[in-house]
Amino acid sequence: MTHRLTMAFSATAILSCVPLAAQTPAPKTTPAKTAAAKTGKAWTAPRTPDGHPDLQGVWSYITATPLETPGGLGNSLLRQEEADNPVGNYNQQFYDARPATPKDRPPSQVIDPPDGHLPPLTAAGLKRQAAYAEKVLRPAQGPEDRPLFERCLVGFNTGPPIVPGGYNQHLQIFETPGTVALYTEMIHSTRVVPMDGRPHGTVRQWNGDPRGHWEGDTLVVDSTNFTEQGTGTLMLPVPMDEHLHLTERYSLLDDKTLLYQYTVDDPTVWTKPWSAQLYMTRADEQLYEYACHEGNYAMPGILAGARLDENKSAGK
Amino acid sequence: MIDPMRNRPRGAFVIAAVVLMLGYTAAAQVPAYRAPRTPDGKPNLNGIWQALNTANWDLLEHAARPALAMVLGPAGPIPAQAVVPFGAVGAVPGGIGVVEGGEIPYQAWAAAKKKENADHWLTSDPEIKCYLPGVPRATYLPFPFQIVQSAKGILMTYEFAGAARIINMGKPTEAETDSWMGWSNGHWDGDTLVVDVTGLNDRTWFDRAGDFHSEALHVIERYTPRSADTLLYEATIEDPKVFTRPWKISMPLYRRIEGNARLVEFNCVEFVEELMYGQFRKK
Repeated sequence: MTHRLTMAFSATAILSCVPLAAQTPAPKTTPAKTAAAKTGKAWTAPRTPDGHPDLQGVWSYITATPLETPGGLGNSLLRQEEADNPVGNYNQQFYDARPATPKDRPPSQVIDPPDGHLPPLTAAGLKRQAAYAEKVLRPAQGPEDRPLFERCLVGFNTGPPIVPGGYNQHLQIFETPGTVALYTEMIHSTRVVPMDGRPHGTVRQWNGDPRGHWEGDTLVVDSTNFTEQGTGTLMLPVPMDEHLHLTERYSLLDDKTLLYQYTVDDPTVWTKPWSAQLYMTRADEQLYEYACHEGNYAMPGILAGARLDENKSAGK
Repeated sequence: MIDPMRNRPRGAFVIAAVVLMLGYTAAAQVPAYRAPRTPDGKPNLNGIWQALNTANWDLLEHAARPALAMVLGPAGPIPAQAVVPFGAVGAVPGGIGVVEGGEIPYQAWAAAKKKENADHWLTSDPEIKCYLPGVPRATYLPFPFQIVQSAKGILMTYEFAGAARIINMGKPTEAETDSWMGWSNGHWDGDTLVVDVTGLNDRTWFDRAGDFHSEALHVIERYTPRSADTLLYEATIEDPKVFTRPWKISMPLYRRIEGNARLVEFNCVEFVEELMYGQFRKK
């Protein structure tokens, strides 16, 4: 608990140093089996009073399973920046300890394409990636040069979609008739999901415009109307854009396991849709406040440092 | 008791204070209303709610004034140059106040500090920097908030800055450290949701008038259904480091009844980047 508390109240600092490279590639193993398939008997999820599966509670999305199998696109930009600017990193106290991937689960979060690699970027996607890299790798001219999560506009692992990494990897789900709320500890991000069948609105939002419904025992959240600038996903090689259509699926496998699956369809960035999944585990935790912006001493430091360097170079 | 009693005789103050001390609440004055129930039998507070008052400008009764920021002109206060172009749009609405008894019982040093805050509002109010608003201010900011209430937990999520609080309805737990939105333990008192808030830091304010508190702040909130589309919101405020006695605010909250009502992101962090970091831009 003390450890988690430290995380929650730490300032933003240099989030770009989250060591993607440190993720241990897991060996290729057999395809996924659900708990039900493994035990050979059907398991029925507990119900809310209105008869839907009760997904409520605190879920940890800490995982040792890498986003991709070895050789995938990954976020090469992060590694590049870390190599170019060896300013040090958070120590291990900061990072969530990650349990090993069970042998009966896929070796990567990406499950489609089946080789566990993100599909190639489109020509526009490559251009977007290059433009993003140019901004991030140069001395910051203004806050807009820094990634969204360093600006505390979004959390770096909250997405949507949720792509694990770093710390504060907790999601709490609330269900009421007509409304589901998805609250992530990272940067106190709340998504209130209408379940009443209303159509999507037209306002673009950082977290998109979510609409939910039940498909059998699975909560499906369909989101559009993201901004042009992308979502809170540090681990992807390029920020997605406003054409993102995200479909998330939340299914209880057993009392302790929530299967989170999602499909990213962003045709201007990716040559084809791709899908990934995570096994979230029930956590006996309370969520803490992650006040990102209020403690963002990194941003003025980064910008003031860049100006100082310029003045030095100019002999001032 | 929404109408302050500023102009009543001094005796009324004493009576009001005594009533407060005895633990009487304005809830007792609300006509009996039985709220619809959730499946677990609790009053159903689910919905999007909003205060319709000017408490965020000033908890106390206040007259309208010409502008957000004023300076001393040749013949008295005038709008500061930066806000002159806004004209009537930039004016501040008056209000009848939400403090019972019409007085915030500051200790002497704290009264001076409040005045200093007010005088330097433009550079001091945490709302200007889009900081998390704290409790109770989050409730009466001019933005809606949503109560998501299930038998397993209550989430209050606020449009302003995406602030949020989880109300622990189980066994009360202690705040392990201070935070902006505090640590909330809730329970039901009849039809009233009572939320006990501790662990608040000393960096939030109550309003744009410089009303403030210390990290010793303890807020006891009461949310009482008073009709299908209104709640009575009361907050008793204790802070022995700043005030001479507990004091209380109360106001109705109104349901946003639009069929398509929803919170729309107000991620003001982006909006204040120029204010906070503009000085460090590459010229």
